[in-house]
Amino acid sequence: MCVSSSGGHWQELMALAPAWQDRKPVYACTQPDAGLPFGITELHPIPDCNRNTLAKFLRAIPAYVRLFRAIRPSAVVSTGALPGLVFILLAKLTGARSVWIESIANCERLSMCGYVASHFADVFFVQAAELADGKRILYTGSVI
Amino acid sequence: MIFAVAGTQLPFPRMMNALDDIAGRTGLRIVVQSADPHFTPRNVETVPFMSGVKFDETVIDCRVIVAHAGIGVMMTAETHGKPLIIMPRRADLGEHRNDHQEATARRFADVPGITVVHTAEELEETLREPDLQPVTLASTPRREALIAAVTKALD
Repeated sequence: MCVSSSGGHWQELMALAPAWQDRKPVYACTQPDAGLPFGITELHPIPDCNRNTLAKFLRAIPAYVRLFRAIRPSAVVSTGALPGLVFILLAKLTGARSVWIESIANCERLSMCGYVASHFADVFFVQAAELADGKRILYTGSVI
Repeated sequence: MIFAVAGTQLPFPRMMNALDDIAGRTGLRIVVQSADPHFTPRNVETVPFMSGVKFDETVIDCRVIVAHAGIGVMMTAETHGKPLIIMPRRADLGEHRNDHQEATARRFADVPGITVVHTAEELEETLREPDLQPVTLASTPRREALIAAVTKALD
């Protein structure tokens, strides 16, 4: 299952799509028609939220849980942000594989969601070498 | 036509108002994607947030994109071969939660086709330039390496 917020997060997820082309990706994004320019016709819209919208976040969690339970993914990959983090945590809870790719926009420090994800995701990538620690936080490349 | 976008999360009145003034002074046709109810344009055309396909069509029609310093717009500009002018949002003005846009702008300022501006004056000066070049990203080896690593991570 491939989850992200709209805008740059989704663009980065799409740039990495060849990584899972041999699997059966199920996409979820906070923008319902995000898949159209990429020829993706099946995409699950999910509610958007960020750290400044606590009420929206709390209301969104049941929707994320419902979708996760309906899909029952064997793996979750996300480029962020907060909605993606919830799916990563749900993957962790259910034993599904979880992979987080921190946005290339964050080259000086991790995002808040990324920081949390770095403690839970099975594999955690950053896209700036300066942020890697070679142990839990890995740098292997970047979308640009 | 100049196409201006500022992302989906927060309004960016400093950039929008600068563009409105510039359109009035220069007569340049500027189309702005904005959902900010407080932005009352006098000279620019506003459009609401557009679907992926309609957004792409507008990008294809424009001669230059003006945007906040977001990764998505950089990738969009490269996909459609358009010049890109970016104005980073500033945290101290309440335009974003942190200053990662300024860091992004610094990091990609030398990409061919990207011009970073910080003020309305710099924005106007750049928009008056006739021969802005399109964004080109030499991205493949770093992207391929990350793709390979993600494939391995998913196994």
